[in-house]
Amino acid sequence: MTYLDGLQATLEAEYAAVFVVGYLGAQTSASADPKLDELLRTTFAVHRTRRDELSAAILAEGAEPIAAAPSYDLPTVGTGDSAAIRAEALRLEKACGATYGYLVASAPSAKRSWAVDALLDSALRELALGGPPRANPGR
Amino acid sequence: MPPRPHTLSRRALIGAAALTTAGCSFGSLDPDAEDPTYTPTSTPSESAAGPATTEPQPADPDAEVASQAAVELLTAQQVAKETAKAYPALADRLDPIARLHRAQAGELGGGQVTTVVVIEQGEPRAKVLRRIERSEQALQEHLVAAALAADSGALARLLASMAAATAQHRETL
Repeated sequence: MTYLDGLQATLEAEYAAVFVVGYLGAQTSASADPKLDELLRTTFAVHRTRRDELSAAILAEGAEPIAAAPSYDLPTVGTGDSAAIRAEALRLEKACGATYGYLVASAPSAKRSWAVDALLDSALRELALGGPPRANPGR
Repeated sequence: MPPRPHTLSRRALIGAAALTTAGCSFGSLDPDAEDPTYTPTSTPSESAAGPATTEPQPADPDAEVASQAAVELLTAQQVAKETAKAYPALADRLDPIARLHRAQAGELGGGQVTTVVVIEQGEPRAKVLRRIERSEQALQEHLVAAALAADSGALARLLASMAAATAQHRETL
């Protein structure tokens, strides 16, 4: 896998993350669970920013960023079901972390820091979403 | 009985730590691998006997990166382990960290720290935890720097993952 392949794969993951986290946020009750609502808003903003940064990085490599799919598979969660929403957000964050790890491996040393930073931030977000510390985030 | 007066900072320990790692090469790892793992290319006894051929072996550009990371991990592991012994009430927080770093060092080929870590007794709990927090933060920073310096993408991913795991465990302190 080339660095550009890694960037495109990570961008695809961010498209999905923005789509799914947006949906999860819409299923969350801000009045019943304001903490989760705020967490998902922050998560949404982070993935949207990363999506834009990745698009810029791909353009800087002289390539065209892939387009987002019209839709992505959505998890089945009940409206206001905080536990299920949190679990799906955690699953998604772990998947994004693995993608960042993939990008770390494909990036040359001088262009690796973005992916490393994203991996560390994602690992901490796992905890915020209720996940336990683990031995191998991003792998 | 007065408290034991000798305390070593982790930084001081790093300088004093003597560690040996088994012969290893990260250049042979596939950067595309989904789960890059370390595989020793030779056993210590094979290394002692010398290579099968007389052709010079290319230097592994990542050997020093991996070796230094293993020193940092094993030193942090010792600090957490000895602190847990000195402060049993903190063992439930520190033992998982010590186990994590031991396993991480193993992934890098293992090694042995010959320095004895001595932890001062009778300190307030908050102060002890702050010291561990500083130790873990320094370790995390070293692992990030090593991930950025590694030549092999597979080793970089391994080190970045170790830094991320360390960051997660810091949150539990």
